[in-house]
Amino acid sequence: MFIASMIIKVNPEKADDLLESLKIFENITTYGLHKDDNIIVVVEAESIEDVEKLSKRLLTEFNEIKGVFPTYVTSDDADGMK
Amino acid sequence: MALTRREFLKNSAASAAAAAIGVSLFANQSVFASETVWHKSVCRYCGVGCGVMLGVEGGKPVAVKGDTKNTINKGLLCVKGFYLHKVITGKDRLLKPLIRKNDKLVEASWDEAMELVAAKFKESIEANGPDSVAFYGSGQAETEETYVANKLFKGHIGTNNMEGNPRLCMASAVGGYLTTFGADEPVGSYDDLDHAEMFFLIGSNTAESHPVLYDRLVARKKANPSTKIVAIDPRKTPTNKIIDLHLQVKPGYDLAVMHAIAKVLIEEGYTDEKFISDSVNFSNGKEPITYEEYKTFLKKFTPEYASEQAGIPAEDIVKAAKLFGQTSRVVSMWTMGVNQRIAGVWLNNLIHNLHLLTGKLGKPGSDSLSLTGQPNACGGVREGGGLCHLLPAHRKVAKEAHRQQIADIWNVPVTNIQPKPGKHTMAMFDAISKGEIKNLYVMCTNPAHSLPNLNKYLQGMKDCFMVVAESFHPTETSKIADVVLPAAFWGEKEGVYGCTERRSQYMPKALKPQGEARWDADILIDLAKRLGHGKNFEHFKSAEDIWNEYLKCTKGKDMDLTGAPYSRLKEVRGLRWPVPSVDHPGTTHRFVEGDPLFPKDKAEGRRMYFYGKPDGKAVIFARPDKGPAEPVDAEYPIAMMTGRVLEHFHTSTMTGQVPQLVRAVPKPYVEVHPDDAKKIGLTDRGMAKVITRRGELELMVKLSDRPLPGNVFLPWHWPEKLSNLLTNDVFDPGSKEPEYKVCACKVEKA
Repeated sequence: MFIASMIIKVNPEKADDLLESLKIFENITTYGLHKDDNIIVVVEAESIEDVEKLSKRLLTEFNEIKGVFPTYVTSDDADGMK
Repeated sequence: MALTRREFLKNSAASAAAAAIGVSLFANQSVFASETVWHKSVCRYCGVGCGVMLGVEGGKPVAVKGDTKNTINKGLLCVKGFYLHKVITGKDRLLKPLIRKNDKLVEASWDEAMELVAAKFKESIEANGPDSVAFYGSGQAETEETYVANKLFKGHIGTNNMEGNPRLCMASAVGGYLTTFGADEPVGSYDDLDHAEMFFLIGSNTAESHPVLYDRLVARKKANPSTKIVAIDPRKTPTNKIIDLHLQVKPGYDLAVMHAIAKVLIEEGYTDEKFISDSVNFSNGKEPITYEEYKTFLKKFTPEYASEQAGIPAEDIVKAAKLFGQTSRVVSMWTMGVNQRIAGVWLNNLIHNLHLLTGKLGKPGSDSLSLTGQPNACGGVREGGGLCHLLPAHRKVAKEAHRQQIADIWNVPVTNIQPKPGKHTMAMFDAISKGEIKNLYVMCTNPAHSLPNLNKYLQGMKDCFMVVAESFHPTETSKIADVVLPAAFWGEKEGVYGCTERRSQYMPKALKPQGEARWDADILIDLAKRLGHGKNFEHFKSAEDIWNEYLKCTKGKDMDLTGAPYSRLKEVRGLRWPVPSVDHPGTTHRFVEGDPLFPKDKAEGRRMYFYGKPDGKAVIFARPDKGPAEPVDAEYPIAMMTGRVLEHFHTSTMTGQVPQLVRAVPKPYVEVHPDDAKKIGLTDRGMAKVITRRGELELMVKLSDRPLPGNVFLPWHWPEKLSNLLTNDVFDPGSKEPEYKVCACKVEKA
């Protein structure tokens, strides 16, 4: 299982709504809205490809998202990182 | 309460993200203790210079995270950096040397491979002279690696046929800085991004090519909502999400727009006349002209004329000019859309012109900042002197004093260094095609994929004796090499990268090289010894030894790095030159007070003194508005543009190792506007044939309104469909940088 954190940069006026929308995603844990336009999320996925797909999906589906910036990636199975 | 491993990792990940934006999520950070050892390093991809932390457990790479202490990226990464650790153990890592036998590459010992390389080089040098061999390096190699190559080829073998791939991406920016300011590399630094009130992006898809800098633009807009972003780009890109005004010009026709903006700035009274009087000369490129003559030159460039040339509304040009003029602090940024053009140097000059006219330079929030495409194009090749006319630390082979200074440091007779520049990249590969250069050593780059108009050069590369030192195999170049040497990759060697903003950063060796891979500098030292030049290389026992010798070259130069020994670089997040002593903090702005080289006595009260020019004055150029070398016509009616996507880097040698990135954008394609597609009969995901005067390719069609009707766009990453079979190899006469960005094509249904 891959675990990755990302900062989602959003339009501040839509940030609260977006935070709620993100909670619908099963594999996303949100860690709140910070400094007006930064939503911290942690994604859990079977493959790192799913993390990437999700990142792209967020960027394309939500116009209020200005950027998705990864900050950390690891695996709960160390061999998965090879 | 005890955490499960999953919870622990989730909290660690969230904590890393929080740190990146300066907040704390968890009161008790001690729960994050683990066995992972984190190594402070620098990203291997573009020229932004992001700080990356590489996590190692038991000798294996187990995690990556952004370096929150690095002021460039403050913990953020882009998707490529995010997967960096996966490249280290990628499926195509070359683990043993290969030599060609019976037309097949087969494994060999290091000794056998190096003996073969040395014998072939010796044979050619003895029979045909030193200029029968050449070196082609990279803006991705470490400074130490390029330095050793420079010393071997220019100082010992005695040829200036030494080039690097920055010739293909940054040479026009170098030409622009040198001609305008008299010194290469930016006046300001990234610090200016946090103070600008307007960003002027020209030929830069910042969101995809430099995502972390894009975030800094987003952050600046948030901190100061009145900040404006104006872009000149022939294509809509993801950067459009944050811009206020887009001048979507016809590809290759933006010089007139820049002149028109200058004309409006003057006519509307936005110029800084004192600054112009104090710090600016004027030139038509051949001889000095007066300010009045420059104004006369500009008469032709009305917004209406530029509108006609570029295909954009005249009122948008006026609007852009007024924004530039009215805003007190402006940062211009550009990249390949400006540089990879036959008028690349001129366009660089015209960007600088706007800053010189308005005095928006050399102060916080204002700069004319060329963005770099590779992590060490600035550090290793521009500063290290890895081009055919250069010597280390911004010296030139043509200058006797420079040759003497370097010969003294290299401990060779000055006569070893030829006074005549060697062959620039395109001339070098032309000479290879003609059989004039018989042996080529390629380090850390992939010219059989990246050269323009490849059909013209591939056979020459096959026919010559070509050595490729590379971490990955096969690449388009390694496939046709005679010897392929496995090179250590990022994380497996220590060294220094110098990024866009004159910042040099240290990278540690955190891992053992895969297989039998060796550090490139070590391979070159081995070759030097086998060629009989070992004496002047045997004192290089470590990367630090090489760096220390290089620092001697920089002492007293405009790019003085004397104050940046390894001991200091290991502690800090890089230093921006000039940094002449170990207690100097580095320099955020050049040519002004605070720059240790600023000559107060000569400046006589002037705010800026461009000490690379004899009288301290920069130059505003009246350059003709040259269009593309190959304009569209009846036979080839569509303009073909090339560029990048977020998920891939250059020839995908690295990103191709990451299945996730490959699957994200798996196939080559051509972006076609729906109006054109309708006329030609193309459908989304159907196939099209793109034909230029140099070749043709069948590609999947991606319908998109990003290009304007009449234009198509090809990303250039995939080896199976080489867009460079189509591109034009005509080059800027000053910088010798080819015009990758635009040529004429026709598109048919395949």
